[in-house]
Amino acid sequence: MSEEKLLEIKDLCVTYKTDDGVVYAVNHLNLELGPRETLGFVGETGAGKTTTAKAIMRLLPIPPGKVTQGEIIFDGKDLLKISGKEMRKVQGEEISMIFQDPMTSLNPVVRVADQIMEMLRLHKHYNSKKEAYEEACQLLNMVGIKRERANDYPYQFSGGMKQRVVIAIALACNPKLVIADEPTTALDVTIQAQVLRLMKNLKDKFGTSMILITHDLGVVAQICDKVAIMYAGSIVEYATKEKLYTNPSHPYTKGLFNSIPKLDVNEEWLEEIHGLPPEPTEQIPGCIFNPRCPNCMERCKREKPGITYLDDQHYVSCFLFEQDGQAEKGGEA
Amino acid sequence: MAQQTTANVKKSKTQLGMVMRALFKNKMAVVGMVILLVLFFVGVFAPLIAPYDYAVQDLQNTFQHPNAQHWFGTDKFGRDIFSRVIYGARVSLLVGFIAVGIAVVIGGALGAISGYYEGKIDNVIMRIMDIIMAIPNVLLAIAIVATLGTGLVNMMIALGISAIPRFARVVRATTLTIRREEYIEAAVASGVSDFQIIVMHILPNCLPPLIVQISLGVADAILMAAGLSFIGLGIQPPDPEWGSMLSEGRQYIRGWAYMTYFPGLAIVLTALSLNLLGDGLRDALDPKMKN
Amino acid sequence: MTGSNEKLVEVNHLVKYFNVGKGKLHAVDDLSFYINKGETLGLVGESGCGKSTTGRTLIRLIDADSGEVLFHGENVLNYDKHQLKDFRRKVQMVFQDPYSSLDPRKNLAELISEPLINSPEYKGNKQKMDARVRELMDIVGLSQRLINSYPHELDGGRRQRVGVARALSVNPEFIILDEPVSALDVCIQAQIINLLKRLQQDMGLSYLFISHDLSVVKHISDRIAVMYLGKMVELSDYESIFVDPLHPYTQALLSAIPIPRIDLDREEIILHGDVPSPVDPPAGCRFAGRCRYAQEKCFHETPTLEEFSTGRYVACHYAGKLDTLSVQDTSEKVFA
Repeated sequence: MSEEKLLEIKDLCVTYKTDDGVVYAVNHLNLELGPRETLGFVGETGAGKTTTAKAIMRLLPIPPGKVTQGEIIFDGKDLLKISGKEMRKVQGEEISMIFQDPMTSLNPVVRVADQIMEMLRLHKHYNSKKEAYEEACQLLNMVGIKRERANDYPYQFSGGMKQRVVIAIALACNPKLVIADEPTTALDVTIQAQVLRLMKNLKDKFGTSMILITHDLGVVAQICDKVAIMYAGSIVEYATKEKLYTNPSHPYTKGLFNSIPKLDVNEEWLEEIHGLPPEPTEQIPGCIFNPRCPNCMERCKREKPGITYLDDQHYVSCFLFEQDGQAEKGGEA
Repeated sequence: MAQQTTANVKKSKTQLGMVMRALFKNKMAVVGMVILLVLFFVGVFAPLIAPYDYAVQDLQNTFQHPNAQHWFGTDKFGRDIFSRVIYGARVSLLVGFIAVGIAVVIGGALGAISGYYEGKIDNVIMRIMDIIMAIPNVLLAIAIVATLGTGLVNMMIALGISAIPRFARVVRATTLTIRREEYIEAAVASGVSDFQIIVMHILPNCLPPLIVQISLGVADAILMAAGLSFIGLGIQPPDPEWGSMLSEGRQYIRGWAYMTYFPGLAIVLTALSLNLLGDGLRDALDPKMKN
Repeated sequence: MTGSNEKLVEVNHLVKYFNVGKGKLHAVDDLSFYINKGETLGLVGESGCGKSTTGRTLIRLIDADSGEVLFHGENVLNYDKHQLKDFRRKVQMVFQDPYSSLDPRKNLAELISEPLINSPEYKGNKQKMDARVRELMDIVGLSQRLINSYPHELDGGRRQRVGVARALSVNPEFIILDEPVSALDVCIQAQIINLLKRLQQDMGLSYLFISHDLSVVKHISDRIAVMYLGKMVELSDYESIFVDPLHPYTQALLSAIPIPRIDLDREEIILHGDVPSPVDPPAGCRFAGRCRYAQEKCFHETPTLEEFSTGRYVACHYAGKLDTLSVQDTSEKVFA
C-alpha cells in the first residue's frame, strides 16, 4: 500500500471482561494509514470502531478492557509500549480526538477560550497568558467563530458551534493524526454539511491525517480517501474510497449499501440484512458474518476466512474471493 | 379494579420470586437479612430468651461489669442489661419500623402527587413540608406528643410525622425526573390514567433512593425515640428501649462504658442490617442487575 | 403506496406557543394539513422546527393554543376526559428513543399489554391479554421467548419492535411515528421501515411519519411536508419533492443529505449559520436570513402556504421563479 506510514496497526486484539463472559471487541485488526490520508471506519453499533480508536489513544478502561496482542505503531513508536509520560505527549500533541457528543465533551463551566488555552499551554510554551489567548482566538476564528464569542460558555453555543470549538481544541497543537468519533452524528443535516466542509478544509490546510469513525457511508463518500468496513470486531473489507464504492465486494458491505434508503431510486422495499449482529460474548465458529450472509457456504461455517487481496488497495475477508486473488494469510481456526 | 389487582398479584408472584432469587445471590444482603431476622426473633420471643426480668432491681449488684451471671453487666439499679437489650428489641424495632412506615406511606404519596402534578399542588405540599422541616425534628415530635399525650403509639405517630418531609422530598425529586421520561409520555398516549401511571411507573422507579432513606430512617427513629423517652415523653421507665438505655449509660461512661456498648451495638446492628438488606433489595429490584 | 381520498385526520391552523423566559417560543405556527385513510404523511425538518410538537399536539400530549385537529370530522381538541380515552385507543404513537420510551422496570409482556389495561375487552382477563401479547410479538417479529425479558436485554431494533407492538395492541387506525428509526443502525433501520410498511398494507393503517431524514421519509411516505421554525414551507407528493423541490430550504435540505455514492455530481448548497431562535421570530419569511435567494420582500412579508400546482403547496414568494433571481453567496468563506 502506501510507502510512507504514519500509523500501522498490526494484529490488534482487544477484549473486555464482563459478567456474562469475555467480549472479543477487536479481533486481529490490521490497518495502515499514510500521512495526509483520511480513513473512514464504518460499522454498526458495537462493531469495535470506538474501541479501536480508544486503543490507539490508550483511553481504554483497563480493566475491564485489555489489549491482548498486537502493535500500534505511530510515527515509529509502539504506542502500546511507551511510558505513560511519553503517551501524554502523544495525546493531544500528535494525536487528538473529536468525540461524538459536543454537548458532553466540553466542560460546561469553563469559557471556550480557556478550554482551548488549557490544551495549548499543556503542550506549548507561552511567555504570557495573553499570547496563548491570542492563539486561542485565532483558532476559533479558523473554525468560523468570531473572537467576540471567545469568552462565552459552551451553553451559549448551538450544537454545531460547539462541535466547531471541539475541532479547534483538537487542532490546537497541530497534531499529525485526528481521530473523529462520529463527529456529526448528533447534528442536523444542514449543520452536518457545514461541519464536514469545515473539517475537510482544515484537514487539507494542515495536512493532518484523519480516522473518521462513522456509521454513515454518505459521510465517508464526502470526506475520506480510504474505507475500512468493520463487522463484529474485524475488518471485513478495506479499500480506497473509489474502489469500495464502485465495487463493494464483501456480502456485508453490499448489504450495508443496499439497506440505505436511496434518494434517486424508487424501491418498494428496502433490502435488509437478515438477523442481528452477534451478541458481544457470542463466539461464532467460522466466518463471523456467516449466520446472516446470503452467500454462506459450508466452508464459512467451519473456517475463518483470511485476507484476500483483490488488488493492492482493496482487500476483503471472504472465501468468495479466494480463487480470484491470492490468499495471503491463513485463517485462524 | 378488583379483578385487575388479582391479576397484578398473580404477576407479582413470579416477579417476587425473581427478586428473591436475585436477593439470595447477594451475600451481604443475606447477612443483613439474617441479622434482622435474628433481631425480630429476639424481640418476639424475648420472655423465653431473657434470663432475668427486665424490670427487677437488684440493688446489691449494681454497676456490675459483664460477667458470667450478667453477660452484659448490670445498670445503676442492678437490672440485667442483657435482658433489657433483648426486651428493648421489641419496642425499638416497633418504633423504628412503624414510624418509618407512617412516614413512607404519607410522605411517598405526597411526594409522588407533588412531583407528578407539579404547579400549584406541588407548591402547597412542598411549602407545608418546608415548614415542617424548619422545625427541629425533636421539637416537632415533642409538640405532637405533648398534644396527643404520652405513650408508645403517640410517639410513633409523632416520629412518623416528623419524618414525612424527608420521604416526600426524595420521592418528589425522583418523580420529577421520571416524569420527564418518554415512557411516561408513552403511557399517557396509550390512555393509561394518572393513578395507574403513578402506581405502575413512578413508584417502582422511586424505590432505589427510597430504600436507602428507609434504612437510614429506621435508625434515626430509634435514636429520636430515645430522646423523647429521656425527657419523659416516650417509653415510660422501667420499660427498656435501646435509645434510652444508651442515654442513661452516657452518664456513667467514664467508669462503666459497657452500659453504652450493648444498646449502642444493637442499634448499629439494626441500622447495618437494614443498610445491607436495603442495598441488596435495591439491586435485586433493578432488572439491569439480573443475569 | 396506498391511501384513499377519505380524510382521516385534518389539522387546521394549529398554533402552539410555549412561554419561555424571554418571550414566546413559536413551536407550531398556523399549521394546516390532512392525512387520508391508509396514507402516510412524512413530516420533515431539523431539530426545533416543531415537528415533534405537532405530533404530540395531535394526540393531546400537549395542549394546542388554537386551531383544530379533526379526527373522523370531530375536533379532538374539544374532547373531554372520557372521549380522550376512547380517542387514544384509536390513535397511537411510537417514540424516537427506544431506550427511554420503555420503562426499564417492566418486562416485555407488561410493556406490550400496557395500552390494554383499561380496555373493557382485556381488563382482568389474563389469558386473553397474554394471548394478545404473543400475537403482537409474532406480528412485529419478536421471538416469544423474549416475553419475560427486560428492555435493557434487547438491542435498539428489538426495542423499537416492542414500541410498535405496544402501539398496535389496541388496533389503532392512526399511528404517529416520531423519529422511529433515527436511533437505529442502517441495517436495523431498513428492517423497521419494511415492518412499518408491511403493517400498513396488512392493516390499512394511516401514519404521520416524523423524521429529520428526508431519505428515510421518502421511502415510506405518500406525501411529504417540510417544516422550518414552526411553519410548513412545502407540502408535496413524495416524488416531486425530490425531483423538483420548490422551496429554497427544501433544496438545501436535500443537498445536505450525504449520499453514499462518489459518482454524483450535484450542487452543494451549504446553508450559512444556525437555525435562528424560534422565540419571537421576526416578521417576514423565517428562512430569509439563511436563504440565498432572499429579496427585500422576504424580510417584510410572511409568505403563506399556497397551491403551486395540483397537490403541491409551497410557502415562498418566489416559488417557481427562483431561477430568475440572483444567487447571493451566503456560503461560508473557506478559512484562509
